[in-house]
Amino acid sequence: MEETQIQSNLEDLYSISQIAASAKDLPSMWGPLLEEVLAVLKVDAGSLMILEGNALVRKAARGLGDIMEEPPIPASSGGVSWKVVKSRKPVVITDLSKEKVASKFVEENFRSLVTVPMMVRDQVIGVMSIFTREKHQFSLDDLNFFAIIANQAALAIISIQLSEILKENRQRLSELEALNQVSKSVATVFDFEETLDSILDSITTMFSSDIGLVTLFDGETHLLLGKKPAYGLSERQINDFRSRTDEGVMGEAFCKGVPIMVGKIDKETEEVLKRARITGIKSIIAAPLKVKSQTLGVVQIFSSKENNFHSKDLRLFSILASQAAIVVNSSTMYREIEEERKKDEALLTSIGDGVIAIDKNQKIIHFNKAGEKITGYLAEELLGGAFLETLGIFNKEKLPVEAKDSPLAKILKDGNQIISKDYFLRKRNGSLFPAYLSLAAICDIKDDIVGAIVVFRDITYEFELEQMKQELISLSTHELRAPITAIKGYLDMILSGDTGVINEETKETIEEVVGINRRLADLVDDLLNVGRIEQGKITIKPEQIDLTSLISQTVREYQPQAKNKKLEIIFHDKSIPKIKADSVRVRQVLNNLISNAIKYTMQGSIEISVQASDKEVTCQVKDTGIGISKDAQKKLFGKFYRVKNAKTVQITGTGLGLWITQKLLEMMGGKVWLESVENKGSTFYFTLPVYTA
Amino acid sequence: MPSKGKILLIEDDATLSRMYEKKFVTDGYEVVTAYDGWDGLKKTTSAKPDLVLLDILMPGLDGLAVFKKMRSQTATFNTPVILLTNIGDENAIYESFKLGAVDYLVKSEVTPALVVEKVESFLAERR
Repeated sequence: MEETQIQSNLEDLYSISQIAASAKDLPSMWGPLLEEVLAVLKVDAGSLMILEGNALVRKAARGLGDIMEEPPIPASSGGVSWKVVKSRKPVVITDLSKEKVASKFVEENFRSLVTVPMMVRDQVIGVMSIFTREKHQFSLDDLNFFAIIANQAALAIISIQLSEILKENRQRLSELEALNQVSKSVATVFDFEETLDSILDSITTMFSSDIGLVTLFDGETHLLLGKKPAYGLSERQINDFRSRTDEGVMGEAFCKGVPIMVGKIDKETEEVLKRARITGIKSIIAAPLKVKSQTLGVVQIFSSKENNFHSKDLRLFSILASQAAIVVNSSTMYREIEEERKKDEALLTSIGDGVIAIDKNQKIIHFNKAGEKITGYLAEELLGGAFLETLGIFNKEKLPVEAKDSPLAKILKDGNQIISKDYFLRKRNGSLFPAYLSLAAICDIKDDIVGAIVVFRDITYEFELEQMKQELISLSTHELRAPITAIKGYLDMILSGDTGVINEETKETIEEVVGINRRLADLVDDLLNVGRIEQGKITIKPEQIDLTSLISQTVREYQPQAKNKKLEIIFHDKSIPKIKADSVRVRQVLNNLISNAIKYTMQGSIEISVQASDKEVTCQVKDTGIGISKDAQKKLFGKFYRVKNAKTVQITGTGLGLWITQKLLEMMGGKVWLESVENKGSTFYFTLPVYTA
Repeated sequence: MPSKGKILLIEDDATLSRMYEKKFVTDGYEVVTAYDGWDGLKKTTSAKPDLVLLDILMPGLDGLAVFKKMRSQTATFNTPVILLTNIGDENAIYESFKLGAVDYLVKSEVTPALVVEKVESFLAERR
């Protein structure tokens, strides 16, 4: 090739690397990258495909009709593109009519095709193809150049991928394993030192110089520091190479952001070189390492000959410098990723919770030290194995949960975080332990779920404590209720004359005691209900319920109590749709609201009515009682809240009824509110959902 | 006065047991008491009661288990049972009626007089 041709090719390469250097993210890069390649090669149809899992996915196409809408090409297709991926060699087809081609459009419109692999070191990351309508003979130079372009593009892609991975993965610990995986794969395709070494090597020999060195700007010291690898310097010399940004040729190149060439070295630069014991240098070229708007450092070559470099070298040198910049940048990012990873790993080792990462097939891909301690398994025994076969997931009855119902299947399907104390896991010795489980999905850059992180803790102690608490509650139910019931029974026997005739005064006194005893019974019931609600022990069994008949029954039960106070309870019965609720709990709600209405009404009536819309039924309990002040209304549904004033002093209660009412309604998908005017009365409303089959 | 009938009261709480016993004796019944499930079950055959008042939550054998065992032995297959308990649990109620309970009463909701009334009207019907 002639020198002008080389120069022009290099400039083309430069323009392609610039697309990568200035692109924000991968999706915004595919199109321009392909266009640039097509322009350079002077053809008008082409495509760019990237290897994702087991398929080649089209990222950009020009002049190929609707080809972007066609599905990715699986490895099993055996087409031209896959031939390239597998052989890692370009394929040239001068007569397409004789070949098996994946796309119909291509088959009908084109005659020739060149497909080249996009390689980074020896790994294929995708393929690029160009198409021509006529039979076309490509020269060897053309092919070579196309292959180089493809590799340059691959480098650019990897560089952007790295920056995206870094951006995406910094945020969440849960993505640790994804990060781990990707950075490993990047490490295998990209040996930075070697790549940089080969670039420096070719630069120094190309310009027949003696020393080549990359210096990077250090954010802490604000100095340009020598970095390995270098050409023609000892390791100590590299380490000792330090330059201020306002010193010498290197500082100038860094600050101005342009390449600088000197044929005769100045005093200042000589001083800089002396620090690293570099002597006898006469001429220098230094170019900034620029990525996007950021200058990372300087690449420089030194020669012991005066005027060793020519002005035309300057342009070429800066093109090569831009390539070095990409490598350096990727390397910096890679290091950052590694650091993040190490930090995360340190964190994972230090926390007391077990952490497991699984892939999308529920295979364990990470298992931390705390997990080993809890389960007795060693990471090596679990890695690569199926979660359900080793640790397993068991329900409260200690039976294995079916694979499709397990939280693992759920998190991998919809990605919604799961926190649960309902499962048991298995230790290595076969025993099961109750576990607090927290599951979060791992997503890749495209937000597809690729796995999950399972954080777990052995809650045997909490579990036992909880069981003890439960036993205590049921014990106190029994122990408290029995004597209260017995008192009630005895009092009733006395009142009904079983123990002999009693006089009026005794009867009144006994009735007082009956009232006190009822208060005690209500308190015990309310307290037990609060406890159950707070512990989530109250289960709602929703069924199809006729609300009006429940109201009628409850009203009937409260009629005697109302009559005692000379109050009237009126139910405006009306046909409404069946509701979806738990009848025991609805009864509790009605009891609370109606007994409250009776309690707080001195004269008048209590009216109950119902109304229905498409979705819900509203019930209102209206009294002509003492009413509730605006202030008190705000606090009314709080636990243990009771309105305290002269009028309520005589009325007993626990202040728990409305709190319980509200909680029960919420549990059934309903709500409760009120309207009230002091001295006029209160109306309580509640809603419950209409039953739908 | 001749006894109106023999009642077996299976109730683990002594206070309640004494109270119901007093009420039934006052009203003219003969009462046999048992304080746990196994003892109760034994007495269903040895005492040959006309009716069993049966608690559910009890140490050892619980009330529903006693009930099931009664239904599986010929001697007590037809002995009438009224559940007298603290739990208003739907499953327990359903289970009891499936086994042929005469009634299911929640202690805190009924007076001793009502319990006697239920027993009396059932035994009257039987005669």
